[in-house]
Amino acid sequence: MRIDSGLENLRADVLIVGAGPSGAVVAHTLASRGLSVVCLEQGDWINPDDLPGSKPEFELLTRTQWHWEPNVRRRREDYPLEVSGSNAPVSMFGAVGGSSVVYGAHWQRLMPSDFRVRSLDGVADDWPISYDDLAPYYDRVDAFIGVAGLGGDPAYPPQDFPLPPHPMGAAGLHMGAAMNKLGWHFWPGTHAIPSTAFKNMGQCLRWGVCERGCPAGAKASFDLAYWPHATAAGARLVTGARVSRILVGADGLVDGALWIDTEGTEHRARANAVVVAANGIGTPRLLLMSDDKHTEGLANSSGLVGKNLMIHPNRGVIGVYEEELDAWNGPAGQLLYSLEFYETDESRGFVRGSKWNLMPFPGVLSVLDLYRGRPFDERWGAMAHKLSRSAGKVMIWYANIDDLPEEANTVTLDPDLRDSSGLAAPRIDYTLSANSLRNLDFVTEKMIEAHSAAGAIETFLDPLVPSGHLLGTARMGADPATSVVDSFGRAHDVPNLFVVDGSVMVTGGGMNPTATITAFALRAAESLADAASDLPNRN
Amino acid sequence: MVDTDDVDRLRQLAGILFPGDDRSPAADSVADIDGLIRLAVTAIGSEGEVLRLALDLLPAELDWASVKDFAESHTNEFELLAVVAAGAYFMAPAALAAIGYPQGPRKAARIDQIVDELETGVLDLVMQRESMVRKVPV
Repeated sequence: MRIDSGLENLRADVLIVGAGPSGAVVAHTLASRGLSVVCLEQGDWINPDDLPGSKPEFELLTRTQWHWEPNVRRRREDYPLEVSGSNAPVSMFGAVGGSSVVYGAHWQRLMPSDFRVRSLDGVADDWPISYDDLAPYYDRVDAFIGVAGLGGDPAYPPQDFPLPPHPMGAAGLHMGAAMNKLGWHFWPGTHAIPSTAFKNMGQCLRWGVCERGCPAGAKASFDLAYWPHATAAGARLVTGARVSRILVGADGLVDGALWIDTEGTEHRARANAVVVAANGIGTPRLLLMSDDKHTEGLANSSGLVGKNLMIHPNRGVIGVYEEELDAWNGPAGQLLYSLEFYETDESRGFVRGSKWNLMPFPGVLSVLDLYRGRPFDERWGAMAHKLSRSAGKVMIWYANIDDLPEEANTVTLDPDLRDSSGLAAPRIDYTLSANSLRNLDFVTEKMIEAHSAAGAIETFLDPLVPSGHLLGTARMGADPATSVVDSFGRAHDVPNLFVVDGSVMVTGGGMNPTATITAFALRAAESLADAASDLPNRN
Repeated sequence: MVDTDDVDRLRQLAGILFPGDDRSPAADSVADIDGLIRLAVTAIGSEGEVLRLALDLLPAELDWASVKDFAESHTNEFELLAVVAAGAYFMAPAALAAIGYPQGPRKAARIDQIVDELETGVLDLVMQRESMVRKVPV
């Protein structure tokens, strides 16, 4: 393939690495402010027709080529993860839109308490910003992408949404009644999924396969919700472009990046500033690969690049019911969420808590899988037909655990494993803390209790599912000795280098993080635009 | 990836695992089961080498007892073949119709469905709660 000559020497005011949610928001914001923007993305556009969810062989495709874990999926743009040192699985997706292509679009803000964990609970650290600092940016992203939800939740500060909420459905109503019996909080799910047609997105058709990519173009994955607007504003997006190194000039400031195309040819891009938006694993990996002068990596005088990885260990409890629950109906998405156990209660034996989401359980093979532990005679033959009739009668509670930052949970460069471009693969070392394990045990017991109150005839434990919530590995803070970037994502060590993805989060809270990541990215991008005239001229 | 003999054996296996009952058809009798088996094999394409190994290990004579022995002695290989068989079967419209599973295009919810749901009062108790928001130091 001949490389477009326009790609040989890319130049821009701002170079963005990664076209996921945060990169998309930064690209749109900066381009709308008149800056020249180039974004390099190692993946490609996903054609909605290629997504598996509406195909008859859907469940088979999700076991291999559409698997959540890149080590199983092994698409060209995936890089391998060395995970032998991790006792909780992680996932990501490389494409325009990033992992939002396969996220559930649960659109949850953090709580005010999440920004003040040290002050309230004496653990981890406070953020350098508060809920109130981020609230206007939450509102603006909500409005831009068309978040659907119901205001008035007593668990949240006041908020409202541009689109009406999705129905709870038969499963949500059934479980809601049970939660009332227990006196536990629940609320109809908030989604970055349009409940009515919105801009270029269609109304949700309830395929129930949001986490495998929406086949109806009815989910605010950022390839749909932001990138068309960013390119219309003038941002340039280059796909199939894997960044191998951020370049540093003699003045110690960054001046661009080296990137490798799909044919293996290396190119150089120059920019006055570089914004890294490559997720909580890809970002520290790139920073660690980028320093010519020091072994510890770029922007890493604190030694914290790649440390404090948080992943929201995600536990599920599945309930099988006698009642028809229309378990194939989305969005999935979350029919309900519960914040009953979100805040610290010291009597439970651990600090912090979890956010729960009730999800449908589409597919027949997934139902049959529940019975894998049974003897042959109790799984197959006439019994297989009987078990398959539970399809539609299953729902699952998942809980995002608020795992706290631990310096021993790290992303480093593996000395042996390489990606298809010959670059060092990231090594993930993650150990569930005693606090997280107690939290997991607690929520497991409580989720079983919820299913029991709802009349489940059987419950099954879903072991930890791969988490795409990759947080904390380039944390923000006011002190350069204890953080990598400031409260606007600017690297303390390199003032024209920015990080805007989940890496910057000081603590993870228990909420699905994309709302917070994008609100932060919007805030950071506007700050960068305001200061653009102060950037060095590399062009 | 699979030849006609392989498809024959996968069809036999599917027929043993899903023999049919008073509501559901037998897997080896649903329309175009051979085509569905080929589609299932293609869908798990990246596991092709493992599938070949599993097929080679499958007993020559397939019946309930021999498949059960195989499942207990070669668990991983059996599970892969069972997924192909089950995946093919549950692509058959007749098999899905028998268990009431929806097929074809989906429909959007009525925009006022949530209103009807809220009018059941299911959320009333929650809405009566005082604020659960934890106060934070300024």
